[in-house]
Amino acid sequence: MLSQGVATGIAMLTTRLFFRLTLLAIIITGVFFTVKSKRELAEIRRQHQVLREKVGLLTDASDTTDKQIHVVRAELPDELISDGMEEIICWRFRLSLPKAYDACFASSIGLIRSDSPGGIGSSNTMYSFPCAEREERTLLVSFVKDAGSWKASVTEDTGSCSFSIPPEFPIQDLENATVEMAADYAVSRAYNSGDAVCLLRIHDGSVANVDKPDKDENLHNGFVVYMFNKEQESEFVDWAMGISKSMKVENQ
Amino acid sequence: MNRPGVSRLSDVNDVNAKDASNGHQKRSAVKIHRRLRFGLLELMLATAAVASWIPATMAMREIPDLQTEIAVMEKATLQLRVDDTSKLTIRAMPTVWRGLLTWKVYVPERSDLELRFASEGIESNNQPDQYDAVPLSAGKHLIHVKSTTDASGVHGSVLLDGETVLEQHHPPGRLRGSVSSGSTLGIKESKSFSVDETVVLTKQRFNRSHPLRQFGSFTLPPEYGSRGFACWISPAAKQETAPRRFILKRNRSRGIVVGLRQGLRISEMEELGYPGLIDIRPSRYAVLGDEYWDEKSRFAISVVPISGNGKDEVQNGVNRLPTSPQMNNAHIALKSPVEGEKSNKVWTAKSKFLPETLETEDSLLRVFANFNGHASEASVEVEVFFDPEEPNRVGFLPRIGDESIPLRAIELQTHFNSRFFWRTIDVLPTATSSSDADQVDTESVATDQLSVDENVHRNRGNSASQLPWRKVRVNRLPFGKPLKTTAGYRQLILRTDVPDVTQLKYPMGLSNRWTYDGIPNEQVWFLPDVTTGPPAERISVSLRNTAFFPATQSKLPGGSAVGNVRIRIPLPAKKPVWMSIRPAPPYDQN
Repeated sequence: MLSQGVATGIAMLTTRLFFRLTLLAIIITGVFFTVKSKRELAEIRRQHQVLREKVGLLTDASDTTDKQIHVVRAELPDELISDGMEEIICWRFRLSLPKAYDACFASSIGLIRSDSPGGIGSSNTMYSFPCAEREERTLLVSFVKDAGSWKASVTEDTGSCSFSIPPEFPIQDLENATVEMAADYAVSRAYNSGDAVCLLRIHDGSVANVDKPDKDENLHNGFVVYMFNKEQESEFVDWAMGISKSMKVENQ
Repeated sequence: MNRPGVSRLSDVNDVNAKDASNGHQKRSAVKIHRRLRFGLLELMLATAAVASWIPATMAMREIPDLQTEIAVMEKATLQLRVDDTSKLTIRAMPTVWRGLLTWKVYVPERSDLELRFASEGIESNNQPDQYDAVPLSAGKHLIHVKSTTDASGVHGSVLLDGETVLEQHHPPGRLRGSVSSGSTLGIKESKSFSVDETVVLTKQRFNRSHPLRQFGSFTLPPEYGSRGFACWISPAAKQETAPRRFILKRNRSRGIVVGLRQGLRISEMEELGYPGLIDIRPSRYAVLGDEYWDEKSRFAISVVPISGNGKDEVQNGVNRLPTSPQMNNAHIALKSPVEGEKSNKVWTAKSKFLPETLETEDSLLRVFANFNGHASEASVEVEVFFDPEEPNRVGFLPRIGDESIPLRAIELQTHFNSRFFWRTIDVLPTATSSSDADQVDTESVATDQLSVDENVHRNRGNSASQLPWRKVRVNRLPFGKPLKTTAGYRQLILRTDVPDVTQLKYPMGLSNRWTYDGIPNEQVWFLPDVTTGPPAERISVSLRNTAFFPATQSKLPGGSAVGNVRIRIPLPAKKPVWMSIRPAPPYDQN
């Protein structure tokens, strides 16, 4: 009986020791993987943060039920803008467009309105094609000095247009000009796909000297690029021509 | 049945069994109790074990989501991602402005690649064989192709890692500095290529100013060499092949289209009411500025067999076989150009595979147009010649086809001429002898002033609204050489009196098919000089003016012009006749 009790005690001790060691091993492995994954996560988070600051993160661009437009500003690598040209100022936007959205880009340079499209000067509308599914497109607006003169260029994935810059345009004084963007770096902004999105508007602070008795105090020297769905083109044109005061589009 | 107070053996056994069972359960309970007994230490260890894995698990769940987002954002960063260091990897950058295209390139070790840049002879299929090049060292590079326009022309340059390494210039002139067609490597993500292949970075073909209009431009067909800029990466050892001279296409509506890559072509084309037709597509340089060339035939030649057996229906003893709607239009057959006529290799429009190239050692390309199905069982084969040295010209040598009835002659008749407004013909002054013909200047005679061809019985085949056939005296045509070395030919030259068709007022509702927007040009035939031979061997020529655009009742502005030219070639023909539509001076200088 005594020897049986001793044997049982030893077996119990062995079992408990084994159990403790197993738990210890699990703890050690857990700590190891925690440290490892934390390090990995930290590195990935750092990469994510760097990339997010550079090119921005479009909010859940894979969500096919989302009907909104998402816009975020992205950097253009330095090497692309330092070689081959004297000076360049540019804005690059990443656009996440919903399925069937047929993006049009209306650009104007000259006298522009500070709160709506239209004005007096050069303008151009670029058409693309409807998105087969949610798609990411890129819009690049650049002001380039080449051979002594400045040119403005608007480039989308499917086409581009360019303008000569009028002498009144505040290209040398952009620091004091008003610059409005649809979104800045890192954080994307969402827009209703039925609205026209003002991607970029640059204008000086002074009111333009228009030779009209009813001088329009809302006209400034500047540049603007809007994006709208081709389905709403007539509403956009009415707005740009001053026929209506907004897009007046039914809710999508 | 069990009664109370009476025990049976089975009952005793049951009691014993229960006792034994209860004892076993008690021992087991003690064992289990002992095994399941945990101390505080075990509890703490178990808690720590669980806790130690929670951060790791959380991190594991977060990492894939972040990695997916990173992958999406990496695409937008424009980084060059090299997955295989043994391959050439390229990523096109977004266009900052139209004049500057940019690529990031990774060049593998020991790849011996070079960057090539050209400004002339840019066509769709091949790279120009005239170019400048710079070697590409192993590693990552940034390549820019920049083009600018100023008063001194259009300037192209290639920058490699910020330094200008290659330059090309186009002088100012007829070139319009806009890109008519450009192909640029995709911009979405990095692409890898074998180091043995050619990778075209950009190919830009410039529009040309319209030769007549103040504004407007036009584009040469993609297979024509064009000015512009082309930049590509190629193995340094690879020589660009010389541009193709000939072209062969299969077109759904035209069947086989064959001829000169940068010149005149023929094709099979059906046209109701025009049996025996062979479609002629002049060199684009001969109709510079004109468009709509891919719709329907806008100039054609039909082949008419002339029987030698019929009763004399006309004064000169030949019998024009009645037009046979059953006669097929040209069935063009290609025989192996390398092995020549004797080869059994024949390709037609129905052939499953057409040869990829028609290049041959011979300076001429020969193809065969067959015309069968005539009601009289006449069958004609016309050997067709193309000479790359003469891009506006095509040669015809007719023969009697296999199993044909005997034929005395073949007539080649042009159709749809009137849209070009050819109205005059060059002839030698009367009483010019053959020996003096080279020294005498030709006269320009209006085609409606030629004498009516009395040999054509009551101008047979003409309706009341049609003007009469007029005879061209071949012995009054000037001499000429269809090829550099071929003498003994007379030239029939038809010229237009309209210097600028854009000033014409076309009738309302006239189909685009019949309007003409191009430069003035000439229809020229080179006819073997057999004027001294027996009458039966002499080539005869007649032409007929028309007051209308082809196949319409719309009147030609400025009065009648040549509507048809008819060349009768006695058989057997020994030398080919050559037909040319060529640009009129000063547009003949490219």
